[in-house]
Amino acid sequence: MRITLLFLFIMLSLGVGAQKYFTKAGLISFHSHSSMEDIEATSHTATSVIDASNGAIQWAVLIKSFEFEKALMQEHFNENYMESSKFPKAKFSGTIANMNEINLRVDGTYKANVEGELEIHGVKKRISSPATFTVKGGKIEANSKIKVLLADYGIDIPSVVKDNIAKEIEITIKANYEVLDKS
Amino acid sequence: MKKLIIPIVLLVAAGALIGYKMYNKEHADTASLDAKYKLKAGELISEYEEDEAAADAKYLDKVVSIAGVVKSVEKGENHTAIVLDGENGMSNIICQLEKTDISLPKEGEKVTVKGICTGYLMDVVLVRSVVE
Repeated sequence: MRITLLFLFIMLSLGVGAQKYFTKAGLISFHSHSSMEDIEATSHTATSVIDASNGAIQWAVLIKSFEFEKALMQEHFNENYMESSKFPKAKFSGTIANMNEINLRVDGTYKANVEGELEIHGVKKRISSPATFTVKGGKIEANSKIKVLLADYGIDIPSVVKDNIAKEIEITIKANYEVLDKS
Repeated sequence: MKKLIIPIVLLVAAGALIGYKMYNKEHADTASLDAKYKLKAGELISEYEEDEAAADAKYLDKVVSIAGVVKSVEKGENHTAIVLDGENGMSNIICQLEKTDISLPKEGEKVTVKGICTGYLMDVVLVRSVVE
């Protein structure tokens, strides 16, 4: 009996190793609403890794990959506001704070509090935000919306266009994670 | 003075129209753009792995034409991407396609993809890509 229990314990421990999930097609979309106009842009190539054993999450997205409908707007976004030649990426590094309430290895829908450091335009800031994780069939879907104050990240809006761009931008994040196969 | 009013109004109207068109201009079709750089997939990855900042300075926002082997075709909700084998190990080149309603190459096929370089995360990422 004892040997069986010990064997089971060892097997369980091995099975409970770190399991990482990733995506290279994460969606990040931001939206600015003002009385003058609505501005929207999306990237479909964000990368993210999530560690199911401890809730650690990492995100990275290339600023140049954000697509606007209007070419000129995309140019201004990159050259004047984001200075993407200097700061080509935006990153997030954090964890699920309420990991004790969540098991990403069991199918279900989980409400999480994600906390961590967001870096945009070379400026790092601690943020926290709710997110929803849906686990089904070995895959994890994550959804979240955050609000970001442009001024917090040193992004200046010239007074000429201050009525065209909202001070606070809404960012939508979506990822369909798959198991990171180390083979 | 009165004689000048009509030409001035026309000039202002023309200026406004040009401004409006420029503001609302959409992206040019990648197929119509000339590639500034033509290289093999492995070469692009090597440059990025050796010195990312230098590679960014060279390739960011430029139209590049990359010859390589299709490692996989990733169909997403809104976009399809062709992944070219980076030939160097872990990193590859993800080419997000401009259009989704095109015939896609198969795994193992040799292709040349033209797209706009946006940088390097786990792989080099090209957007608005077309298969040449």
